[in-house]
Amino acid sequence: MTRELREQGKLVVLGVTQEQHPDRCRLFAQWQGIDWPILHDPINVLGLRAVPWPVAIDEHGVVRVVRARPEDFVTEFMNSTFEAPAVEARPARVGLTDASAAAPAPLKDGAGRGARVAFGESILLGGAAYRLGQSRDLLGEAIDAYGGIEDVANDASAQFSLGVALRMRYDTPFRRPGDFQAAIDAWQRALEIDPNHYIYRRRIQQYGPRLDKPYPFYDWVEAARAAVAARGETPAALGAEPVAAELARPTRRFAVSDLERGAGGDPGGKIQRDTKELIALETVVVRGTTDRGKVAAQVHLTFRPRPAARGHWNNEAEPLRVWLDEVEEGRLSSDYLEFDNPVSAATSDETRTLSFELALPPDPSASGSIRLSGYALYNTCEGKDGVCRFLRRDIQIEVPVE
Amino acid sequence: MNESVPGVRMANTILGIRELAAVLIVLAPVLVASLLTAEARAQGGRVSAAYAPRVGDLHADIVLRTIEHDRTIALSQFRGKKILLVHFASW
Repeated sequence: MTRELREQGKLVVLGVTQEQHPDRCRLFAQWQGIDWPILHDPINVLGLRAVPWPVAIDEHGVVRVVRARPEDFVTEFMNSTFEAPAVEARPARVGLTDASAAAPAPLKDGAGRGARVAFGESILLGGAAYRLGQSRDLLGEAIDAYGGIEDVANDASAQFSLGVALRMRYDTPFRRPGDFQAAIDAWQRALEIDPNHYIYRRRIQQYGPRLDKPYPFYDWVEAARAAVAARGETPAALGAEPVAAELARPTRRFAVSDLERGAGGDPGGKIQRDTKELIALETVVVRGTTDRGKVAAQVHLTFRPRPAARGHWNNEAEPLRVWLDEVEEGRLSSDYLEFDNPVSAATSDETRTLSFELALPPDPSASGSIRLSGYALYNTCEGKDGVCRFLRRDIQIEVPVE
Repeated sequence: MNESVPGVRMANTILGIRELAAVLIVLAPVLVASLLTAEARAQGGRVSAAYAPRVGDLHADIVLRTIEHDRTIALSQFRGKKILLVHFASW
């Protein structure tokens, strides 16, 4: 309905999205044939607490419709001529302070609105800095400087923004060990301060256990890519591929996998350990946020070939597999994980994430955490034409419980 | 994601989005109250002002990068035109 109005120049349609990954929104827009601009507001500078109906704004910048039926939209809004407001007033600005600036001024230490504004701007601009080939590490600057914000520990918005920045950095080569877990922790703090904030909650649920999910977040990606390709177009590329937890459907009960425990493990511990750390392993634990979801945690195991050790995956032998030990407390969704390896090249460097869930026991022990253990077996090669080995990586995870 | 609420169906019609993955999330009763207040306070913490557009008020001038990050758009650059602002997520 809006296409004609837009082509006639009578209406401008603008989208705003709070998604962590703008490229996923871009694929969605491509799939749906959305050709109006979509703005990226990953730290929610707008302050959206719920999603209102589309907002209609007149030629003078005045809000005219906040909720309407489609027929009203045309008759009441499009067909109306609105008077300019009596008083000439400039609206408050939200977002970037300088539309033309590629990067904000260097952040200053100290409290005050300046620090908060600079912090937010650095994240808004920094998210794309790497992708656009800029050398300045705006995300790193923001993350390092956020402590200068007044009362930051109690500031839900600053905690949320910090989490966004950490997760953005995690998606670039500037990542530091622990960035993803730190992002989750920051988002959890934001939600603790402001428990009714649906955007904070969704950001955690995206990576959390199935009991916590309101819906599968990115299960549409496969269909979108197929539909776009069928039209003869190239699907918009995704920087960070959604992991299984982001595709998973919600469940009402704790779901246990029916994947059979793989044979060929290493119960005797005889396989050589990856002492050179050709593959780096990070574990991230995401507790559920709702009453139903908080009895479970999603555990992400992220395996990443380490450039400094010249590590690569060897795809010509058995894929990455994980065996988990029986837990003393609680219940695992699976005690065996296997990476489904579609990569056709002999070697590759992509990040591989395997995940599983833990149902917490009703009365956790007084120790304050549940310890999980297991090991991974994988085939790696060192250097482009280097030695290829079958290696083992021992896994120890602590899941904090109150 | 499919949610059957009036606003969602309206958006579907106006925008012609086939799938209701364009999120117009159901407004929980507790959130309606926060739409009416300029600022919400939570226990012991600082909570930013809520987005609460009101008919008759000037809308804030939003200045943000697009999702492609290749340009910046300010709402005020469209002064003189009618604007439909759509809040959005792919899930």
